[in-house]
Amino acid sequence: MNGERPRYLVVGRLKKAHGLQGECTVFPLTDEPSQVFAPGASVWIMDMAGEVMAGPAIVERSRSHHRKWLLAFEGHTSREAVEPWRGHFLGVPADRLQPPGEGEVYVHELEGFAVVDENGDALGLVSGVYDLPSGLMIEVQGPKREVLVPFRKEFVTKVDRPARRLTVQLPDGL
Amino acid sequence: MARSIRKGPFVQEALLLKVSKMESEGEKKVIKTWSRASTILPEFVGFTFAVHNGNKFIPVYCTENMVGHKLGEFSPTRIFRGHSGKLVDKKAKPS
Repeated sequence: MNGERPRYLVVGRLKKAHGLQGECTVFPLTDEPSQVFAPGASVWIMDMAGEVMAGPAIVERSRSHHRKWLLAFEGHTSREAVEPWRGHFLGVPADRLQPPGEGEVYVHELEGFAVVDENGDALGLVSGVYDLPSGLMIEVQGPKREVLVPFRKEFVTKVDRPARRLTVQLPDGL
Repeated sequence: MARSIRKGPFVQEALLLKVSKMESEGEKKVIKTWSRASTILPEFVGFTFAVHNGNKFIPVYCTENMVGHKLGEFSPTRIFRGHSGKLVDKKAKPS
């Protein structure tokens, strides 16, 4: 062991207890809730500051319920056992999750990416990411002003995660 | 009360003219507009509008499933930045 603390990623937000058997409502904050919340998986309880409070808690059973998930943890069989976790987060070490695929990137990583045009000329750095009704939007801080660019294939033609670089094709007038 | 069917959807005339002109010329520039109340028509699909939100212009790339909605719906006037900078397992890919 190198003693370095693993980096935890938030995968869900714990809501109210459900029923009397220790089930807990979880709002998923992951793209693969069926894998992350599968029975037998381990999750850690994290506080509002992102620090690990408890865990690992092993998922005993899970099921989707409307937009949320209902999870039961091993050794927590009553409503009172899970009620103190309300409002906290569920985290999983980043190395246990599926890494981003080809052309994919974690949304929280986007800030600080270099933005270049098709010819390789630097346009600026990503200074903000917004989740708008039309989709994800990145704010590119250029030398003179900031530009908002939709995170769509029509505008962002290449994502180079190891090099932390986005290649964009800006239409006239943006 | 809903808008009368007889009138059809509201679109600012200047906006419609700009789109039809660009379509005939085959170019695709970003169209700056303050007309948040204009309805997205099927002719707008594939065009990018810079819709003013009272502060700045938000680029809106029109897709098929936006047809029938207003341009202003995609240019929010308030932005919720979240409660804290937690590292969330959310991935994105330009789609």
